[in-house]
Amino acid sequence: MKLRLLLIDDSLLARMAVKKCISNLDKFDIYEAADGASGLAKYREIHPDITLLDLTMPVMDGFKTLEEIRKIDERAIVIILTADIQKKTTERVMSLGAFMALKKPPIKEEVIDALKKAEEILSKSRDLYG
Amino acid sequence: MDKNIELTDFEKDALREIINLAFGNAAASLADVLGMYVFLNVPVINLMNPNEISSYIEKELNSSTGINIVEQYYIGKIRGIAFLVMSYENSEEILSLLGHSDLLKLDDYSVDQLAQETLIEIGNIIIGACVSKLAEVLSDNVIYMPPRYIGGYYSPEKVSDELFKPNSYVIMLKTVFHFESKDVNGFLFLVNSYDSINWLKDSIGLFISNYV
Repeated sequence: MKLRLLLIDDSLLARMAVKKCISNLDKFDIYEAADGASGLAKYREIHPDITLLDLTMPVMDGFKTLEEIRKIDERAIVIILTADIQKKTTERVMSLGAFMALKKPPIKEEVIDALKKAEEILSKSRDLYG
Repeated sequence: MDKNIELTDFEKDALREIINLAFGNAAASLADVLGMYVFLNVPVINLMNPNEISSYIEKELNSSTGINIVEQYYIGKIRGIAFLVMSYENSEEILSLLGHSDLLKLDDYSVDQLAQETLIEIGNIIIGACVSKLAEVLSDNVIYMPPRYIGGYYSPEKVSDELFKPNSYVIMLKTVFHFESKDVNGFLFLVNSYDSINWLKDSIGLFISNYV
């Protein structure tokens, strides 16, 4: 069964860059949103297995979007991908329940590694909760 | 200058991503120095005539009071002027950002003088980090003129005609930021000459080719 992957980023180029990093694209059904609010709506609609989320976005920023996603599903796996490289940003998103925080521009190995770890957690979670 | 040589929507999207990287780098540098969190907003890109710079900046700062501006020229293939605009009611608030409040005990300096020096220091950090990252991503190399405090308003006659020819265009990049637990807002404007638009398009194209 394919995994549902939701990319929330206001930059088309950034979303394309993430897809380029994922070598085994056929493993995923990929959905996209260009701001936090539409990303949240898409999240409610498709309940993705993994979400990749930018922080600096119009309409609703990534911090608020992450909070709202975690209210919908406290086990949601959200990987942050951001140009905001402040240490406190990483601390803040981790305290909000992010699974991992990666720096922009995306590096292929880092994205693949993050997705692999997310899949392991998903697999364990399914074993536990069905 | 031919305005027909414009950036496409996709090139603007890529440039916005590059600016995101640059501002993110600047915020991290500032956060390291200040030891506090810097909140960033989405950058904005605009194309305009040089004679519109003043009204654009005034409009952007419309609701702000207590404006103080530091400018710094940068020259490379990208070249222009960076304006760091800080808005605050109380000069002591600015001093506290860099832990300079103790300097007030020295009789030789007024709080406003020290605030200006602090602003220049902050300008040097944030403009340097931002423009350097921008140049790095675009494979450019820039040199800087020393930052200057230019007071509480932006004056169009101060802009060099050599940099921004009256009948040409400028590429205006803007972001807004504010500091954790401080009543201080910041605006960073990078006003770039349009002279190197062809080079900029090529450099953005190279950046895009790495990611698509």
